[in-house]
Amino acid sequence: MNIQNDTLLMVEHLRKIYNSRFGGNQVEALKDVSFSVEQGEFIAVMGESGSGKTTLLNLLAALDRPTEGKILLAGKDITQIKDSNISRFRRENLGFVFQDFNLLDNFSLRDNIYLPLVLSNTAKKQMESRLEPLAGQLRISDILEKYPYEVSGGQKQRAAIARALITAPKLVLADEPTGALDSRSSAQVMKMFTDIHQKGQTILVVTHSVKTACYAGRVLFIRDGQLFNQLYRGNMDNETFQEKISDNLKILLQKEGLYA
Amino acid sequence: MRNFYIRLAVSNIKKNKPVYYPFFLTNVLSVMIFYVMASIQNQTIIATLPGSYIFVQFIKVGVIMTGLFAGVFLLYTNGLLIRQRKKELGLYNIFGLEKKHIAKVLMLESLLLTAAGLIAGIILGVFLGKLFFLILLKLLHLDSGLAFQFGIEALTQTIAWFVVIGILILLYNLFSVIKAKPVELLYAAHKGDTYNSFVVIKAILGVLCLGGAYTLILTTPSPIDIIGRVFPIALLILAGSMFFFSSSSVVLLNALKRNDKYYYKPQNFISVSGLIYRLKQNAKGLSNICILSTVVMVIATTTLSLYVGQREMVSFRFPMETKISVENAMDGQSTLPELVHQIAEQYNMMINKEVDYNVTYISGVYKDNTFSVYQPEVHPANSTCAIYLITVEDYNRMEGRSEQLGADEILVFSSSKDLGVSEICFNDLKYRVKSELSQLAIQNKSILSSETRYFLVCPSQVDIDNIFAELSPSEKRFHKTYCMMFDAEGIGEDDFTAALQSQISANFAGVKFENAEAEKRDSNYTYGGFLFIGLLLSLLFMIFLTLVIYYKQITEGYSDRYNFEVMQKVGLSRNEVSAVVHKEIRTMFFFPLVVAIIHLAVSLYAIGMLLATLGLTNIWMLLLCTGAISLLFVLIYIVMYFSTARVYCKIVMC
Repeated sequence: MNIQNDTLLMVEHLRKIYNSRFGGNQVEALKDVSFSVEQGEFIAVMGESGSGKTTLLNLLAALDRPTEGKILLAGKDITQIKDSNISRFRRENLGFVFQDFNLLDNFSLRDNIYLPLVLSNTAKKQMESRLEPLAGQLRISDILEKYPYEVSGGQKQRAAIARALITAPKLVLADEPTGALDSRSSAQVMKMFTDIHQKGQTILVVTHSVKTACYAGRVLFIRDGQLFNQLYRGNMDNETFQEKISDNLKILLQKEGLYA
Repeated sequence: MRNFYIRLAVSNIKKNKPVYYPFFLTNVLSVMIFYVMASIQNQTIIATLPGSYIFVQFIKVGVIMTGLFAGVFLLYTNGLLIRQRKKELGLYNIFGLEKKHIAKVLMLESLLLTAAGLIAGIILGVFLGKLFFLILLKLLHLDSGLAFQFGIEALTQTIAWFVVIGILILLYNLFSVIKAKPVELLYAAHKGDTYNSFVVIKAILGVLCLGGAYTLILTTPSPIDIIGRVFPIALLILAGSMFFFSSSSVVLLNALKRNDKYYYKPQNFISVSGLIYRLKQNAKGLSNICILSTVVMVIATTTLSLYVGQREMVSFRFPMETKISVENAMDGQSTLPELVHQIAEQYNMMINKEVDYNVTYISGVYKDNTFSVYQPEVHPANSTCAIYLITVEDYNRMEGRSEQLGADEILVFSSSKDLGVSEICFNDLKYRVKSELSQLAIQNKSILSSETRYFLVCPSQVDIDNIFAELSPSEKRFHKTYCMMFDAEGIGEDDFTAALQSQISANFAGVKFENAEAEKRDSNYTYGGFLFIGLLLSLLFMIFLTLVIYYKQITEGYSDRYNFEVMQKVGLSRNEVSAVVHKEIRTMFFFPLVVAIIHLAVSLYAIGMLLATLGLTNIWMLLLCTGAISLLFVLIYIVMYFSTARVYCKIVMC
């Protein structure tokens, strides 16, 4: 198939079982999840807490290994990478954006953004030339010398996005990127994700916020460790797509008996 | 309800055990050392020793110092602990415990810690007290069969002192809780250090203080002057080190940060920024470590050198083993040697070396070729010298020479630096220096000695009388003495000395009897005691030092933990984290040690002078002791590094 060449991420029959401490109880966090992400796609994964979305993210981020199944990033199975190479692999191929920013207070924003590059021994000139357009795009050029505790939450998150992007990763993984932000900052941050996406960056956002998910081009719904359904934006604008997602969520929750 | 508070207090201590157990242990060990010192002060055997007066005075000072330093140090570390616990106390406040309830819990905690610390410390003190007493007896060369007495006095002293410390700690804690608002309590632990203010002023102050201290040390004109300077020097070094570490680390780290080539390397990037972030805390810890290290090394070096060098000190003062001097007794000169020989024969002693001479002593001042009499109102006390006038006849007899002096000629000998002059005046009386002697049978020579003694060999007794009339000292500042010095050898030396002493005192008035062996025994009681106090104080400061280092590691460990978690998320592998961690600790850990050794090296000049005032002038021995002590200290320091670094890694990596 032609599509095969444009597929960036292939998730095949992913299964994750957690053993409780004494090996007695087994919890199946993910049961047979399969999906694929095309090159340049902006995709959101939605689900309630406990649905398995965090487990999925941890597996995609190579922070954890699946019990069964494969994760192919650009054709390479990341579940097979040796422990000793995994940090380097993550640094070079994945970008991370977290709910609580995970910026380090002892670095200025500039140094926070440089961090992954410094860890890969990148020359300063190169770091500067990479940061310049990014900082302009994310509108943080003026505050690069400030420290995380001196700027607002939205500014912190934009710096964190810059840190995720500066390595030019194949895939950006965002975990509740608007979870700690007010609605205005949330909208701003998601707008930035949209801009970045339009420049060709593949993004996967995990969220339970409809407002956040509606910026994506496709939304995957996950429930009880299984893919429940998916929605494509098509030509809908944000508001319409948002309503559609809300409706879908209602069905999802009704089936679970929460909205009855 | 009461039960609840006790349970809460106990569980608080248990829950905070990584910080409270070491604090408690320090408390116990401080109590132990205090108790040991206090009970040794009260041992009856100590007071009966000849020459123990100084030792007893010093151990009194030692007890007070131990108590004071323990108090200051425990209060200081308690301050750190309570800061760490503010969040927990704030939570209690939010969960509905009123401040008076929190106060109650704190009170119970203090009570428990103080009581347990006292009990454990005293029990330990009773057992280790015996051991320490044995060490003391060994140092004093006393019979180790002497029993260690348990005194009630030492017990009450210890309890009183540490109860006061406990109350002070409690008051501090209560005050800091009452003062604080719950929100502040909750967020207190999160404040980062913003610490770039006044760096330049601090740097200048640091350089000025340390420079001042070093200058004071190195420009001390004579050994006796160092005593008056000890206190300002100590203060300057203390303040200077504090300023130095807080400013130098800012300057150094910022310079490293500005150096892009250095800064943007994975390990340096993380460790430099981490160190800058915690500058204030860091600088304080570093200067504390540096000062404690310096104190330990200075105390140990001084007391060890005195102990090792004491025999030499006595030998320096005694060119021959026994010296008998009879004041104002020109008529006794013929009969004294006779009597000594008689008694020596009785006890089968061989007299090997023997001199006798008449000497006129004047307490004087020497300046620009001129001797004048010392006047307390005019001259500073440290400018005195001792003038000894002897005739060339006596000189020739005791040196076995046949020196001839012209009418205005004189021979000079200085106990320290050579005079190097060709003419000497006594007020208006002028003499030509025929030659400067490089040695004299009755006086040893050393550059470092505290008060210089000048022996002036005059042509005749008439000259001596003239000089004396010219200087015309008041009654107290001179005396004429007949002296005899000799070395005796044989089996019954102690009996001989005792008999000699009693018979000579019976036959002569105004007699002074000095014996090197007796002097050595007495001085051992002083210097053995010194070393013992030095040992205990060094131990105390080592305990403090260990605690400071340990706290530095764990507080930094907890604050770095989050950073390393984030870095692992962003793509730093475990191995890389470990490498960074070690680099970060290493960089700063050995910095204070290096500065402390520099302090010690400069202080060595002052220590040398201080020892010289006590008569210890052997520089090589001092250097040897210093070398041994610093080597030992560095070894202990390295051990402390490895053991506390492990604690840090454990906190950061899991």
